[in-house]
Amino acid sequence: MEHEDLTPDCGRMRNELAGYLYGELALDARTLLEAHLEGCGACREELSGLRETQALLGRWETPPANDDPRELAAAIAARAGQALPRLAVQPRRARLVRWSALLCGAAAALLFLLSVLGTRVSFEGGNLQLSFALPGASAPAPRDTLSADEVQAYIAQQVALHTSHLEQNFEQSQRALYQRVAQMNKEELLRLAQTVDYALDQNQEALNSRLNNFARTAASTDAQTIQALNQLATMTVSNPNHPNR
Amino acid sequence: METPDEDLVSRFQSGDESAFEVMVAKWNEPILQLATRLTGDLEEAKDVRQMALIKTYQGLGRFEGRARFSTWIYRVVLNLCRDRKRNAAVRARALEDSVREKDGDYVLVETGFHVARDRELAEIVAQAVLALPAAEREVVVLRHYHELGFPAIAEILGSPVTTVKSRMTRGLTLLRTRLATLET
Repeated sequence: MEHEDLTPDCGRMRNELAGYLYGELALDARTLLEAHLEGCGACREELSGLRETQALLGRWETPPANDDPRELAAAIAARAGQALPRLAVQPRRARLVRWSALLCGAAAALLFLLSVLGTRVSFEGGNLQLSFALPGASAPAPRDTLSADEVQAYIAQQVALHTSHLEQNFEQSQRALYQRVAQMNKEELLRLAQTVDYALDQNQEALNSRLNNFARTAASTDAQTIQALNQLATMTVSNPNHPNR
Repeated sequence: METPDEDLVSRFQSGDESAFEVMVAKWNEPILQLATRLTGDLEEAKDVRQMALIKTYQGLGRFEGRARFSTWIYRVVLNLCRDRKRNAAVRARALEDSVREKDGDYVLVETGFHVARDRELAEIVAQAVLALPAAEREVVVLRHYHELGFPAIAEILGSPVTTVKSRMTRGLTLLRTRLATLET
């Protein structure tokens, strides 16, 4: 492979061969090398061998990635987010958890009441119907009904699912927020703090307003429900077929 | 027209998470290819890709643009590959996976002998590249398979252009010796 009659220039010129093969030599360097190659069989042979090697390199192909970039990006973002430190103070999350607990408590109390009343729930003609089996009542269970236990289990499942979604959304938002905050300089952080204060005040007002509305609606609904229950109880007790009568 | 990396970085830094998806779509393949050719192990290359993309996601916020994004991401992948400790068994197993099977059309028009020889040839070339000293292998892979110019490679490696050229010449010369029997 190695030619015998190397000239003093050969070593320097051979260091340029890779650049020549890959088209990276400047015009003057290329001119010099080509002039050398014309008179140097050893370097021409070397160049020829390297050119064949260059061609052989193309035979090594690697498998394509075949990944969905969107899915990959989502997986990476989720993985990267897990590695982030949690915020030391999480007031919004704490509030969220408190409200979830409150709602769950209210739902549990309602379900307990329904359970005590022996309530059965049924869908007939597309309408939700409630029936009450007061102590001693022996009315046959209507078709296609759900027991209070089943309703309780279903509502508990839905509350858990809803709470889980809320928490997941909150986690994602928190990660995104953390990423953005991490990029901010001092001025931007100050502006953000002012914005957050303002937004919190606005949110608090909006939340108070919505809570007041909710409380008024709940009180009204409670009154109507109690009235309906009383009427139902009266009708059941005054039923001539009632065994307690 | 393809969005420049630096624009994508700016978008991400402004809170546009979709910019990261575009970056993954653009860099997923080059990262995997580079890691496969430097480690010789497809599974290990996938691990490197995942770690490189996680580092990208976490580091984009602090990316200041002192170097080009491409330089930065190539550096990340090179460093991850260098950190990997591989044993001979892993390399042997992986090499087989890292050589791409020809597609169905090719197999139909070629004889079994040609297909087998093609795969064998690819494995020989892959082994020769993987057997290069790390410094030469990095330059050969970046120049030949990723078509990066010597100045860009020099920037990635933090070495002078002359050093990169010398490594490329030395790498090709070593490969020529190892692949000499295949040259006809």
